[in-house]
Amino acid sequence: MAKFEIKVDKASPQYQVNISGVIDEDVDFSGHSLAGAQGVEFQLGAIKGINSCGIREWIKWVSTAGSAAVVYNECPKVIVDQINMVQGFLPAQGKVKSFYVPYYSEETESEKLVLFREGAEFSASGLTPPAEVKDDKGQPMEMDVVEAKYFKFLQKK
Amino acid sequence: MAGLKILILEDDSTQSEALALAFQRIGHEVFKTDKAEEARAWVKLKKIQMIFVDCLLPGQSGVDFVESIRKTPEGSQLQVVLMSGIFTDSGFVKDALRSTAALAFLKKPFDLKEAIGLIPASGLSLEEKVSPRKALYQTFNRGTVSVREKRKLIEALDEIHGYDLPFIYSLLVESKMSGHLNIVASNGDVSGISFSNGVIVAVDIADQETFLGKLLIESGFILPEDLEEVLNVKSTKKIGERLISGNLLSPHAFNIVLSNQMNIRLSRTIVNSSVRVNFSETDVETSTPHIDSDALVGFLHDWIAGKITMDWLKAHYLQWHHHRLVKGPQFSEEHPAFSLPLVHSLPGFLNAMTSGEALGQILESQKFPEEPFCKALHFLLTKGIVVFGEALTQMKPEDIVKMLKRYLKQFQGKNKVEVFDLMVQITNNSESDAQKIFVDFNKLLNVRATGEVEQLRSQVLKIAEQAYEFVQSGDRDKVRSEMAKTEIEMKIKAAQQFEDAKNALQRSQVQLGYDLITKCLHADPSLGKGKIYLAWAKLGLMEAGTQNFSIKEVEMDLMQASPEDKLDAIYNFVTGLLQRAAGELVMARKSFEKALAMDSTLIVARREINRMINHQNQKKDVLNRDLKDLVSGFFGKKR
Repeated sequence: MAKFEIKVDKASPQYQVNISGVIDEDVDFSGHSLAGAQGVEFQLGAIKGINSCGIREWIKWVSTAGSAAVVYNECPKVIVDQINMVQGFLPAQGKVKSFYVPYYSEETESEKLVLFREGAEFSASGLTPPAEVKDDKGQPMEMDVVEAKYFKFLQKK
Repeated sequence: MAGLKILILEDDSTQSEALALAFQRIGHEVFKTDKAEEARAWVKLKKIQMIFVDCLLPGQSGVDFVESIRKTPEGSQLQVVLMSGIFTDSGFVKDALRSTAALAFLKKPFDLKEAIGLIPASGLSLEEKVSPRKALYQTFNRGTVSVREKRKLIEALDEIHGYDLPFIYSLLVESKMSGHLNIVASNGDVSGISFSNGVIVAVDIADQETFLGKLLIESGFILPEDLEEVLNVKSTKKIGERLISGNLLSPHAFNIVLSNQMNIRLSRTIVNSSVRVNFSETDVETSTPHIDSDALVGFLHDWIAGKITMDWLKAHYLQWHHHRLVKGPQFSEEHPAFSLPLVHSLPGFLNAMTSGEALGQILESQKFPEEPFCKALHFLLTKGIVVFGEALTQMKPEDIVKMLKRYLKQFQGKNKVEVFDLMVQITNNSESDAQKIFVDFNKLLNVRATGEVEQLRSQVLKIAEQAYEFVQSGDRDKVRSEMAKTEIEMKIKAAQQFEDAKNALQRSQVQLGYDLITKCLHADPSLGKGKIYLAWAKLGLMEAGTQNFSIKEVEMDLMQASPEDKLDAIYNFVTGLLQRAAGELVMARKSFEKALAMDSTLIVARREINRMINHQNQKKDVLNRDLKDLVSGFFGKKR
């Protein structure tokens, strides 16, 4: 099982947070208060899973950032799912700067994660997905999510 | 993407050309015509899957054309989009959508993107496109569904009902998946279930009440005094560890109780309201105790018997009314599910399930009482033991009449919002998509109709239409909040009556208790412990000789208590009453003693134990008396 790791860099008022592994009941955020930050930038690309205890702990922890601007980068699918489903998982003043979108090729049964970035693949006016995504064998791949559900969080903001 | 065959029936060549180009660009095969007769021929010959029809055609109305083509085998499954720039008033649109079972009505001028948006974006053909919730329930019907497909099915779900959860648990277990299923209740509470290679290893619910002490006593592993002793000693250790280290409990026994605790927590996730779910697939370590596929059979049985209401089941199965029941992938005559009370109590159930009859036919035959039948069916479907097969292609008019009457019965006494909520459930759609719900509902009733059938169909559709209109008017939220207020008031009233009923039963006023409980359950069918007290009242009336209920009927009431309610002393007490009524005196005494162990203030249990002791003593007296006394005791003059 992927081990949980967290690094919080408080060297500047813009805190940098790196998280990897699975967020569950064993995770303890209490030593990583975000109070006092002017902004918090999260790197979430290495998160492998989250359970309900982890969700509750996350909401409590992120709220310690108070009114600081919160930015989520490289959100994996599991995080996008929670942002869409759980009120407060992304704080009201929070913003997603980039997130992964799964692609799939029926031909080769291969899966690939494509990073959607603000200003490139998405913006306030909508989505502009890459014209073509191919797998390692050059086969075309299709977006592997229910679009109305997966991109819901973009409409909220 | 697999292209569809789309026909455009339109006399405005500019419009027709624009649509054709737009559809061709995204890979569809497009045919155009401005003549209804040509369109009719193409639908048949070219196997057209979708048609865009202008309502005002030369010499014929587009609506009449669709109505007529609906009566042909090729036209019955056709997806239709109506278009008009002239007939755009809401009354016309509504009637046209209803009579043609069209997917949508485009008012000209419209954006081409709007038209494109009506064509499915995936590679699925239109006939195969079903709502995510319906697709979920069809999982066991399809021969081989890969784990990936099952995961995608769960991913596609958005808002579902809490009563859908047992099916999802069963699917994740049978599919040997690993990961976390996260559930958000309508009040925002987050709970979750962890699966490791198809076994449930952890259940986390927002309400952390553990029930551990009750469970340990109820299972007979410890005495209340043992628990008290351990609780009185200050320690940082968990209660289980303390009991084990004090040699008061074995680790094995503790695991059994923990497994039951998981069962109760799972049961508490199965709520009568909407929930949102997502499944995060990840490696999860296996741990002990856990719930595997075999253990889940019994738990599913108890949840379905004790938690799911008949109103929900009836609405859920309306859409499957004309589908045959067939053996599912998990079917085996020796399957332990068949020995569990829900199924076992219905003689002939297995034969009915495999007779090739449609669900509606079995229900109408009244071979089985409706409530246990629906629950038993749902239980077997949840395990994939039986599945719905193909729909009857030709329903007899009398069967259609029965089906429509069932719809009317479901709508009876419900307000427009409640009717619409039923339509949401029946069509498996998200409640935010009102138009799709209305169109899908129309499609469900898309039967060739004359006479009584048409009359009933119109009645059903009229009610559905009024509900749809009301929802569209935007007053739904207002009515919902009024309904919620009324519901709370009713529940408060029912809870007060329930207290009165309990007091009446404690004072042996069984008739009063029975009347009050019946009222409470009518007002709130999911009233906690309601069925247990109902069983008590029935047993009291049976003993008094006032009313005659069968032991089986009371057994069914008790079986329908939820797992968490069964942890109450009163459940053991009523079980004791039932056992005594069935002549199982030793078991009865044990149940009374267990009830008393769980709640030492339960006077009624003590009273019953004393009665049994006195009765036994009297028996002994009879045996100890000499023969002369005995004979005169039996045959002597009564004082």
